Amino acid sequence: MRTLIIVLTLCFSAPALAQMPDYPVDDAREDGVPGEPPAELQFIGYLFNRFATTNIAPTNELLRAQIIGRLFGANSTTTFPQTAVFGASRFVPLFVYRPEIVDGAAVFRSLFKVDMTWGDTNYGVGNNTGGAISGGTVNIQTLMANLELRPADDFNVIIGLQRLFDNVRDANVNTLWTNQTSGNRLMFWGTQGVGISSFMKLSPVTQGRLAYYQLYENQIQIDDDVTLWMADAETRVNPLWELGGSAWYLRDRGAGSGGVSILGQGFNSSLANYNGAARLQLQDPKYKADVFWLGANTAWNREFTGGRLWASGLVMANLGNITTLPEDGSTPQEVDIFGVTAHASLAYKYGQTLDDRISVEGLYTTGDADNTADNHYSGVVTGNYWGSPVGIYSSHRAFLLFPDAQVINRYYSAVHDISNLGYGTSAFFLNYFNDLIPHKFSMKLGAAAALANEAPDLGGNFMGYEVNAEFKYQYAVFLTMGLHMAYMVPGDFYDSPFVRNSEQRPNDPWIVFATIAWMMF
Amino acid sequence: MTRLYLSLILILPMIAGCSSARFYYDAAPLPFEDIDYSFSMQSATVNGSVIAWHDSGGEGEVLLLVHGLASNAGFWRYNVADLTAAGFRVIAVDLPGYGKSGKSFSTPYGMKYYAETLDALLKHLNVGKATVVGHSMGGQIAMTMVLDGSSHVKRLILLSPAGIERFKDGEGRWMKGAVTPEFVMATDEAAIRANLASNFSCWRDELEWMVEERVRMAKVPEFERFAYAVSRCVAAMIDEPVWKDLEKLTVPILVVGGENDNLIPNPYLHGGYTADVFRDGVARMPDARLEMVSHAGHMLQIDKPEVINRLIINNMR
Repeated sequence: MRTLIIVLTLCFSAPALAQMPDYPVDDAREDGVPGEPPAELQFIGYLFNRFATTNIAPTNELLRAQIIGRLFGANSTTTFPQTAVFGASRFVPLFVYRPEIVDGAAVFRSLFKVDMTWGDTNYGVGNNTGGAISGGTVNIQTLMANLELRPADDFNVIIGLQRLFDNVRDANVNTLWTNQTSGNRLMFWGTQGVGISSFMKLSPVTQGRLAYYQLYENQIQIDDDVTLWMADAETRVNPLWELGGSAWYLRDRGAGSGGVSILGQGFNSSLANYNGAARLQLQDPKYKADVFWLGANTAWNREFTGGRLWASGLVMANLGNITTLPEDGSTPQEVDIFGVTAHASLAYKYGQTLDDRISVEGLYTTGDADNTADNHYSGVVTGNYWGSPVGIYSSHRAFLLFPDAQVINRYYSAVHDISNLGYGTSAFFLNYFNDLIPHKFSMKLGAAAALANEAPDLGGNFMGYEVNAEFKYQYAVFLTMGLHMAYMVPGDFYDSPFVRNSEQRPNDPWIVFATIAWMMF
Repeated sequence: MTRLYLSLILILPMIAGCSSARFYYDAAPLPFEDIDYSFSMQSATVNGSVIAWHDSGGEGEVLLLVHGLASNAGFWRYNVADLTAAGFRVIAVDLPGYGKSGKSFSTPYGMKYYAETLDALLKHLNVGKATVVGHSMGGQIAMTMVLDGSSHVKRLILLSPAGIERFKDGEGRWMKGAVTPEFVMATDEAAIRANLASNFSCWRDELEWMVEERVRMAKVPEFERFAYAVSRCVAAMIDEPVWKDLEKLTVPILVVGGENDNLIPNPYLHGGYTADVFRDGVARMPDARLEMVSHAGHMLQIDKPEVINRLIINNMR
């Protein structure tokens, strides 16, 4: 009997045991599978190869591969009956070091740019030339080397060489795409610089940025520097509506000294000629300037988060004054500045993915027909006066009429600076995107046209128009192959001999290029 | 021209007024047990875990609804009433780690664990045979139930099922490494909205409850356990694949996909057409067919509830 009870007990207890809680409800995280600690040293690489054929080339023997700035401008780029074929490669390694011992209180980031041309020289204006053989054309630049301190969860402080973008977002942790399509779209500032910046979370829906950059320090014992101060804020009025504002101040006491090699920098430097900004005709080479930018930007449903319509707009006013510093005791020239930039874009997502969309984009910048003859400059001022390239407006996705960011060190376009030599511009862009295979193979058909708001002497207002096409194939994760082509018809603007570097009107520029881009995680 | 641009900018506030999207960062915390699914729940300890479920009762054929990653039984709120009204006994479960179920760190979250737990739940409810309707990860769990020899599964209805798309070893490790509990917990409101929106062919105002629920439940201490479960489930979907064994799924199967699914195939790792992935999978299943739903994203049962309810009902006949 006793044996039977034991057997019955075992028989009935087995199912009951199966229902017993094997896993305690109120346990601790340590009882779970341990997660791997994040690596102290993180590497993110970007490799970009570009192989191009075009009828555009420079005439200046020094500028064989490093060409930046305005097509048909002082950089000597123009169109030829011949066809150029060339390749170039760029490797951009980013190293992020988060030592465990400081437990998130400090992060170090460094970013380098390693450029390789396929056979011709690299960085002609940077005194780094050499033959393709033996790797002599490999050129390294430091783009970032900065320390991020995080005294509190809601703000950081970044010290050192860092991104200098016209956006309230921390460029250390936001993508280029985000910066191209939000804030001020990099059309004023889209480069690197040394300084101190702080990105802060002012409220759960409001972010801010305070920054100071030292653009030039010529002689350390005297006040001959160029410094930039930036304050930006952006809030979400509702989950889909972003509204931002920017206030920047540039104090230029450099008087044109310093800058990119022999080009110098500032309002009356030849750098402006190269970059497509207005080279101001000041009565004396030395000057001091104070420039302010005040602007607002907004976006609705950015990246189609909450529907099929994505709209954005920005208005930016630049104002200030330039005072020449004559050494002969004559009366200084006083030039006041007031220019306005307005931009709007509208995109409709008609299909499944972000690349199933049609977009229209417009840009307007005020112009000035007489430069500084009336002691007033009513054109737009961007960072292109102080570096090269700095203002890199590229969200429009044109390839020749306006700058395309898919380049290595041949970076030119007809309207390279939004001030358009100070003449201003009214530009219109239309793009049709289609994901032929979702998230795999996409195409783009585009058109762009631009007017100069002020015509140059002996020339007209029409800058020209461009048609372009692009195909992109995702070969592997974040590894994309592309084929891009564009054809531009220059307008009567180039009838003017004052805006071209050739005797005759340039032939129509065209380009076909293939790309391989790999974002390495 | 200036007037045109200014007009465009002024239009934006008017466009903004057309949406009912709002912020929830200042809304009260939402404990998991207080989430309103619009139907009642009950719970018990099953297979060692506290598990919550809805049981409509009745004598009809049993439908076991299994939700996907990072969701809960409430994600069937547009389906339960109609399916019940159609005469079925509808059981919608909160998987352990989610919703009102237990969220123990020591739970061995995984496909086999979930499969055996659901099997035990059906046994607990005295269900002989059930049609298992699984969405996304729930689909992979449903397939695992069959592969593990569950005697309770009559047929499968798989909505945007995970487990059919193949991942290489390196891809899997990359995905597992990307979704940590800390990553889940650090997701802010804007990212939550964007992530949820990616599940749909086009986000609609009436889906706002999903953002509100996710933002508010992130404020309760239990959320860390939810985030842990999500992380472990991502790893489990990779580590316990079913795509190798599709030929062994001998029960009748209906696979339903959305033609605008932005998550299958994985947009970063693979790209391509959802239908191609599912067509390949269905071809390898002995008794399966595929239905693709137009203008529908990954979250089929919420994006197109009428269509999905009709497909389920018709498939049961």
